[in-house]
Amino acid sequence: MLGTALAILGSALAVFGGGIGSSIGVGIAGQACAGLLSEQPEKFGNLLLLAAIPGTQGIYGFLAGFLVISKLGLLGGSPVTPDLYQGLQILFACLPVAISGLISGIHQGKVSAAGVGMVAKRAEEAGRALILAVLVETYAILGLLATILLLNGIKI
Amino acid sequence: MAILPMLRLSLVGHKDEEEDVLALLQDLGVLEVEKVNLETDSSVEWLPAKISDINRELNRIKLNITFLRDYIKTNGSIIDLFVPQKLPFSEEERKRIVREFEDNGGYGVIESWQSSLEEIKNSVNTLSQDRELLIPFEDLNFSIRDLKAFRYVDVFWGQIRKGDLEEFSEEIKSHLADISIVKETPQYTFFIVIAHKESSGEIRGVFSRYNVNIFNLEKFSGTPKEELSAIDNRINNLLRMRDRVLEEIGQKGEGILNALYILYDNYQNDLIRYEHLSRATHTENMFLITGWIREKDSPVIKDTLERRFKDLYIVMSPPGPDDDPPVALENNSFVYPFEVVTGIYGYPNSREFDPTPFLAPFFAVFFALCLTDAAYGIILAILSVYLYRNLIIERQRKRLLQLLFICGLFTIGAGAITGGWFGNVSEAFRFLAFLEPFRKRLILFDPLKDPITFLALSLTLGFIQIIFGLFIKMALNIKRRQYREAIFDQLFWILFLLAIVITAGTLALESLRYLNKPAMYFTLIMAIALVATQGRHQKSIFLKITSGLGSLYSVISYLSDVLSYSRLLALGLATGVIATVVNELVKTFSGIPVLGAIIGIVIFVGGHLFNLIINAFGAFVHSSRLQFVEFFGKFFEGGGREFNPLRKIRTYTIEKEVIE
Repeated sequence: MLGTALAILGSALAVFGGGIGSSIGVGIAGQACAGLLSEQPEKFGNLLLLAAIPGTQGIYGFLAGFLVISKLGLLGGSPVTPDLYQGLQILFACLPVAISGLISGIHQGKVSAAGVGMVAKRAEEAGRALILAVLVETYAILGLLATILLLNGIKI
Repeated sequence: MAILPMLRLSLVGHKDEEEDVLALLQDLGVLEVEKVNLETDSSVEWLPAKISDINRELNRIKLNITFLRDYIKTNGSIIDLFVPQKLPFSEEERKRIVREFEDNGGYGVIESWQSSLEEIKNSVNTLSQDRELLIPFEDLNFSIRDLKAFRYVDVFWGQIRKGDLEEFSEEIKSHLADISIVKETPQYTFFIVIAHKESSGEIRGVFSRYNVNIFNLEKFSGTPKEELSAIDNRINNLLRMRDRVLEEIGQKGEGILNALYILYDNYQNDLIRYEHLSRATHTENMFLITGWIREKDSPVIKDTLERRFKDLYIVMSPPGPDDDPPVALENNSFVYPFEVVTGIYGYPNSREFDPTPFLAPFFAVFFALCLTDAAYGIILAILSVYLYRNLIIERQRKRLLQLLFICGLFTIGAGAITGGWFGNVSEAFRFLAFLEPFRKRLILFDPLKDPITFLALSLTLGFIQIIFGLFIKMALNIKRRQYREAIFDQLFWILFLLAIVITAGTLALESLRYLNKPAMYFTLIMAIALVATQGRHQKSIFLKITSGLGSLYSVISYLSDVLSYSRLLALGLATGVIATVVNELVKTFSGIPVLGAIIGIVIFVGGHLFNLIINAFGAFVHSSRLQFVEFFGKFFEGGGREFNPLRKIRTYTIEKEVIE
């Protein structure tokens, strides 16, 4: 049973690591957007994307968490019970997405907030501001990828 | 399918014709005017005043528009929040609406509405304040005029904090005065003080010591009740007047608003034209306008100008070696929408290739792989067609919708081969199980069960794109007759990278093992070739060899470029897994009788819509990034500026012919 608990800990870490990163990131970007919107409400469409983009880490974390849940068979079907070592393996496999999501989410929020400054002066720069923010996201994606491949390799 | 050749156009003519020439050029929308600086330039002295006049007019219209918009209900949809739509008018309609506007009083009407609404608001405010004064004394049944203008006594109406009342009354009574309480609220007491004129100075002193509020009821004469009902009457009358004005605004406002929109756009185009005038060069009697046109437009321009202006001197010449003409792209209808992607990064310079046709197929495929859901692809395609038909904006700004349509079609394909239809919808719901065989027949591989195949596919595509990028650079170098660079910097690298991949392939696959030796030798030869050539810019033989060796280190950067394409797998999986989660949630709720079906449908629609939006967005930006960082890095120089001719730019309206 300890194996199951550890696996669930891994799933939880992935979800809340990504979640914290995203909520801080979206928070930073959202505040910057709100400031600009008070002056230039017509830029809402451009800004929404900038504010939303640090939100993906939370989704990646959730995705990894869900993969663990479905691996354990906790959503209907017949639950499987990993032993202690398999549980630890799953826990460790969740760390890449949890940690990279946590940190990259925050930094992506900062880049997005800086992008809001760009959009304030020149609305047509929204696309470039987005691309800059996406450069940060690469590492959350690589974290997710590592987690998926690791989980895929763990046999229960 | 490329960057269009440009010509320099110079026009010399008499100053009298200059405005007409510019107006005609603005109608044609073909010439990007360049600023000329000549020392002999004699500026147009009336221009600054004219420009500031137009700016003042624009501000005035803008203020009126803001005012009217507050009072007119427009049936704006949620789309307007993202893309403000424009009003279509033909040239005749524009003229008619503006004429009607001017015949019916023009700005005067709006300004009279504005001032009467303002007046009504102020009067209502004053009356409401009076009302507040009188309400505490409402129950007095004598007229206020009876307590005014006595010979020997002064009357004060006031309000005091309840706690101070007792002490205060004592003190009042110690002078030649009396106090009577009119009304008490939990916090305050309202009173009337009657004092002999001799002691009224002292009484005022008492008032200020106790922080008493004294009301000035000079302007009232009847009983408080009479006064209050008179005030209420007047307020009601004012409000009725306000309703009448609002009704009038509701009736006439929309026509006036349309006229304002048209006028704003007209003035805006005047402003653009006059600003261009300041870019031209003038002598005492002549002007010189110079700039860039697309070569294909040149016959039309020459024809039109010559027909209208007999004395205009027109010169066209190809760009010289020092010129830096702006960049206009032209592509076929499949590639054209992808100019959006190129535009985000920046335009190519005039001496290289347009990267749009090269990135188009890759972008579409990458987008599709990131989304990998056939049902989402269908929705995306239908939605973009719907918006394309119904959005009233310039055609150029609809490129994004065309792009999404193409990407949607690709996504259908990618979804079909990976078995994504709303995630696993036919597997999850029993009543859709009859669709399962069809889904299974189309599947090539299931990304969740077999992520390695997906990963291999992503990396292979990435490798192909990077090699392709090197090929483009090689072609560019050949075109520029830089054959040495083409062979040493690109061809050698392409062969070396291919050799490494083939060697790896022979190690991995048993059936190719017999090729292992030749492949290894070939790799080694290419590595030596690179070491021998990459240091060719260095002077000493020692530096040539070390920098040649060092260049091999770039293999790492090619490796990391290829690995970057693994994001396609991660994003592709993300769509599928979230869709599956949505379906699971729906299944969990569908157990509840009656209500379960409703909740299920809501979750299904909302969940999948959310997933589609978030992942289509991710697919777009990540596919773009792969083009910009990994692909463009191999060959693209950029630094061109987009061709931006003098033309009509409209903020609120659009030409009717354009959208039909």
